[in-house]
Amino acid sequence: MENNIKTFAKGEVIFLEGAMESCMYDLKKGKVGIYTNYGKPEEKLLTELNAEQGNVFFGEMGMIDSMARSATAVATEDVEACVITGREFGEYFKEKPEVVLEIMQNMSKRIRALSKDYLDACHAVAEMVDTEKTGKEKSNWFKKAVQKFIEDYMTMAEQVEVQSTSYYYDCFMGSGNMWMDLY
Amino acid sequence: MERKREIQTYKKGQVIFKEGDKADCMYDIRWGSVGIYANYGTKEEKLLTKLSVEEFFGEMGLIDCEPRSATAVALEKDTRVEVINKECFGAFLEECPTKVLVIMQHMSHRLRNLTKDYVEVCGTVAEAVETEKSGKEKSEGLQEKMKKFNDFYNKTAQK
Repeated sequence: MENNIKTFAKGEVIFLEGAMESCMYDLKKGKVGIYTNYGKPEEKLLTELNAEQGNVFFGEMGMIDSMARSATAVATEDVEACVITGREFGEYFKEKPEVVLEIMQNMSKRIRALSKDYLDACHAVAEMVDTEKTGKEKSNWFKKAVQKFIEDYMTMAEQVEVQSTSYYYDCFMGSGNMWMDLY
Repeated sequence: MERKREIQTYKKGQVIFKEGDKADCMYDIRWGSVGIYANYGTKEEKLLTKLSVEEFFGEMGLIDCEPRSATAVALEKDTRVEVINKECFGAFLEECPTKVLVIMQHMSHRLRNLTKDYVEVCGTVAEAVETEKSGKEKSEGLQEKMKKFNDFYNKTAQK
């Protein structure tokens, strides 16, 4: 397994936003910066991963469904990372299945949170339909919630379009040492 | 790594777990078939899916220990299922990595679709608010979308 180690010099790109690459990385040494719009005026550092934290993984969504990378990973210090593909992943994680469970737990949390947001947004539509019919005033809940939906639309719509079917979530593990590129 | 197996055998019609039950494991079907039902045993009972050998169910119980969202019932005599809990998950991962990847792929697709749906309903809210502000009439397309999400909300909120 350890022979899949790749090294990257400081400043070197590990993978680029938009690249199709079906593997994830186990960061063994150094630091990695995760950026959107890398090298552009809108460049944004989402997080920096540090191997010293132990059990630091990134890029797992690429391994799971082979979709385009939703952000760019750059070595911010000299890096050693182990490449894990879908073929090796069972063998690789058999001794630390909790990592795989944690990936799934994070996806599950995202699904639950998004399902709730979706229902809330439908609730807002229902209230608009209702107040239009009855002439009632809109609730305080509506006035507050509607801002979030409009803002989410502004930030997400563009990315959903840019990445055709995907949206980026920065999602950190409970321990704060994992980055999930959930589009 | 030696894998300790916990195999359970069920009679035809026997319940494996009930909607609302506490959960901490998933099941891998070794023999027979299993029906997954919503509202099992009530007037609104609905068969959601039928699964057979080599398929698995109840994976969300293993992942986040939330109560079961549906009822699983053995559909054949001597249906055998293997219990996969956190303790044996490492061995399962080694032996059946593809099944674990499939679970993750399902979740990933679900997340993508939900994201698209959420952006669509937020877009509808934004458009409707904008139209109300401007005092213009809502277009037919906007009204249609609003009806769709309104219906969805009323149907779901009733539950």
